[in-house]
Amino acid sequence: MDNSNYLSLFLEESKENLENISRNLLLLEKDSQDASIIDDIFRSAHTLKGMASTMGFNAMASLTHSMENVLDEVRKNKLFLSPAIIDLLLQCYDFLDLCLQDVELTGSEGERDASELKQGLLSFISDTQAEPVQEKEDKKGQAKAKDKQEEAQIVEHISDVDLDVYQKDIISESGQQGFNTFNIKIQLVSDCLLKSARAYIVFRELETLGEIVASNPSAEDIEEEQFGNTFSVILVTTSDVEAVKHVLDLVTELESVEITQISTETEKPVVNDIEVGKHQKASPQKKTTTSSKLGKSIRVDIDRLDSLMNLVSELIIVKNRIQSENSYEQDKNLLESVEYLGRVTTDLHETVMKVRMVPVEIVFNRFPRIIRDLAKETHKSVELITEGSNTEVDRSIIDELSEPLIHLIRNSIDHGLETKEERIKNGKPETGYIYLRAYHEGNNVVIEVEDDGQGLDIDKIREKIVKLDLASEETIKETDDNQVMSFIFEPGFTTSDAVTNISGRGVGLDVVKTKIEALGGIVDISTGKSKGTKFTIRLPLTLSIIKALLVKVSDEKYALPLGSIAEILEVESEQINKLKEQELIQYRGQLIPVIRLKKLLKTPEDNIREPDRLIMVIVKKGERHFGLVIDDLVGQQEIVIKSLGEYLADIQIVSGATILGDGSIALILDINHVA
Amino acid sequence: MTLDYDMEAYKDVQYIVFRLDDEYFGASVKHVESIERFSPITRVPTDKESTIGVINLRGEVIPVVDPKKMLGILDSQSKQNSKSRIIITDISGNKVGILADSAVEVCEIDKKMIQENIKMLKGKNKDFFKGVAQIKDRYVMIIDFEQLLWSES
Repeated sequence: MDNSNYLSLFLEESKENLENISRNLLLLEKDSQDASIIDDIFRSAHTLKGMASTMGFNAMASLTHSMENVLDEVRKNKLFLSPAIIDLLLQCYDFLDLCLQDVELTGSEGERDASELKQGLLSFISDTQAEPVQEKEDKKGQAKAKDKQEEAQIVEHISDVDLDVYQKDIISESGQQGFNTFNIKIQLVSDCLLKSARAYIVFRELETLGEIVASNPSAEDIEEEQFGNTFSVILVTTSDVEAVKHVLDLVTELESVEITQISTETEKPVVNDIEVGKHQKASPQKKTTTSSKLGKSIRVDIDRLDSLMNLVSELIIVKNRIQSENSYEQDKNLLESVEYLGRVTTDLHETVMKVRMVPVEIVFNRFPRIIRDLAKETHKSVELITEGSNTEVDRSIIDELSEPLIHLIRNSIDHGLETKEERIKNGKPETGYIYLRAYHEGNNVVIEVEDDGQGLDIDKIREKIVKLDLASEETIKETDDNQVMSFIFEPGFTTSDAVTNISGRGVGLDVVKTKIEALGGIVDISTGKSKGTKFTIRLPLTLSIIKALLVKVSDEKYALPLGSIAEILEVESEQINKLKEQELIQYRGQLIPVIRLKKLLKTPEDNIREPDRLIMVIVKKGERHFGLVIDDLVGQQEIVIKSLGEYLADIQIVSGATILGDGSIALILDINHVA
Repeated sequence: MTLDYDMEAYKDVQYIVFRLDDEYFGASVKHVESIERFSPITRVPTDKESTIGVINLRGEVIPVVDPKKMLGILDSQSKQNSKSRIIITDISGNKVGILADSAVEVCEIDKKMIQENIKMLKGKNKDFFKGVAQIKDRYVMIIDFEQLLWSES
C-alpha cells in the first residue's frame, strides 16, 4: 500500500501522542502515584507503536514497545517509577521526536540506533522479573506474560502470517480488550488482471472494520504484485465473522475467502474469562466515545482553509463595492438586503477565522519539558506557570510562535533567574517562577513571558551599548530608559559576560524581534531591578482581514489598523511644540512625538496652507503613543490585506495594500515602522 | 546564460515588441502574463526611482515600474495615455507590471536574428540587454525582463 497518503495523518497524530507522553511524564515526576497518568502514557505509547509499525517505522515501533514494557511493569506496581526511569523515558521521547522530525522532512525515520535506550529500559524490567511472579488477584496483570506466550503460540499455529513480537503483542492485547482477531485467507480468481489493486481494495474494505495487523506476503510485496493468487491478512476488529464476510462479498474477482478466528480466550483460565467479559462491556463504551468525537471534528488541509479565506476576502471586497455605490441607499429594499449582506459576510468571515484558530496550548505544551531540562542544566529551581493556554490564535501564527518563545524562555532562565543561593540571599523563595500568559486584547493576541529574577540592569546595558559601539556615550546618557532597553533587541547584543550553553551568544532577542515583526506583531520589554523581566508580544489575531480606519493624506488614501489606534483628536497647530527637530504634543499628561504623514510618505507637494486645526490620530505601539497628523478622515471599514509582493518588500512603513469599494488601492500603514 | 536548445526551438521563441518614446524594445513572452490597458496607479512611498506604484489587476495588487528609469538611456518620464500599456510579467510567481508607451506586436524572432555583440550600451546596464534585432524596417533592442527587474539590488 502507498503510505504517503497516511503520512501526514501519522505525523499529526504521533506528534500529539508524543506531546502527551512528555507532558504526562513531567506530571509523573511531580506525582509518581497517579495511576491514571501512567495509563494515559501507556495508551499514547501504544497508539504510537501501532501507527509506527503499520507505517513501517521499525525503530520507533520497537522503542515504543520497550517503553510500553517498562510502563506496563509500573502500571502493575511491579516497578517503582524512579527519577532514573523518567529520565530514560524522556530520552526515549527525544529519540522518537527526532525520528518524527526526520519522517517529516525525508519520509523515513533515519538511521538512529536505539539499542542503548532499549538496553536501559530492559535493565529496569529484568530487575523486576527476577522476583517470582506472584499469583495474586492483581488486576489484569495476572500471569499476563504467560498468557502472552501461549497466545503467541496459538497465533503462530493458526495463522500462516509471519508475525513479529509487536504484532503478536497487539493481537494478544486486542483479545483481552474484547476485539476479535481473524486470519483471513483470500484467493483471487486466476485471471485477475490487477492483483495488487484488487488486494488494495480488500485491504481498504477490511480497514473499515478494524485494523490490519499483518499480512502475508507483506503489504509492500502485495503492492508490487510479488505474490501468487492468494494472500492472508490478520484483522483485529470489533465486528464478527458475518460482518467481515459481508464486506468481502462486495469485492469482486475473489475466488475464495477463508476466515478463521484466532481465539485468544479459550485457553485462558476461568478467572480471566470474567475479566474479559468486563472488558468487553467496557470497550464498546470506549468505542462510542471515540467515534462520537470523530464525528464532531475533522482534520482539514490548511491550504483549503486558506482558499476559503481568500474567497471570503473576495466577498468582502464585493460587499464594500456595493456599499460604495450611492444609488442603493434610495431603494429601501436594496438598502436592507445590502445591510443584511454586510452582516452575513462579517459573520462568515468571523466563522472562517475561528475555524483557523487553534489554542496556544499547542505551543505552550512543549515548554514544561524545555524548562525542566534548562533548570537541571543551570542548577536552578524553576517553576513554570501558564495562564490562558486556551487562548486561540490563527494557525499560521502558531507555527511561527514557538521559536521566539523558546528564545525568551531560555533567556529568562539563563539571564533572568538567579541561582538558588542568590535568591535566598536576596530574600526570595528558592524557586524562580516563569509566567507564560496568553490573552486577547482588542484585535490582538498578547503573549507574556515573565520571570521574577534579577531584572535587567539599565546601567549595564548603557555601558554595553557604548562598548559595542552602537551609540556614543553622550547620546546614550540622554536616551530614556525605554529606548535604551530597545537596544537589547539589536543583533549581537548580550548583557551576559559569559557565553553559556543556553544563551549569551548575542543571538536570540534580535531573532525574536524579527520573527514577531514578520508576523505583524511587536515585542515590548519591561523590567525592574531584582523584580524580574517581562516580555510582551502583541500579535494580530488574523493575518488577512482587519478592521481599519481609512484616512486621507494629501489626496492619497491610507488604511490604519484599528487595533493600534487609541484616539482621534483635533488639535490646534500651536499645541505642537518643537524640541530639537522632533515635534511633540501633550497627550494625557505625557509628551508624545508627532509624525506628519505627509512628510513621512513624501506625498506630492500641494499648496494648501496648513489649517489651524489639525486632525491627529493617536496610535499606540506597545506602551508608547504617537500622534499622526492626517488631512482627512474617510471612515472605518473591514479591509482585506493584500501583499505588495516581493518586488516592494523593502518598503517597511507599508505592510500591505487593500482594494477599496471603487476598485482603487489604499496602502496599509505599518504602525510599528511608522512610529 | 547559455541556452542549449536545438535549432527548431529557437524559431518558436515569441517576442513582444513595445515602444518607449521613439525606440523599440523586445522581450521574450515566456515571462509575460498579459498586456493591460490604462489603469490608475497608486503611488507608493519608496526611494526606488523606477517604482511608479501599484495597480489593482482584477483583485491583485501589482507593482508597476517605469522601464525608462531602469534602462537609464532615456530621459523623459513615462506618462500614461490612451496608447500606454502595462506589460504584466510573472517571474517565478512574482508579478510586476512594466509601463510601455505602446505595445507594438508579438512576433517570432529567430535567435540568429539577434546581434549580440553590439557595443552601444553602457556598462552597468549591459546585463539585461541581449542584443539588437532588425524586424521589418525597425531595430528592436532585446531585453531580458528577469534580469531587468530582479537582478539589481
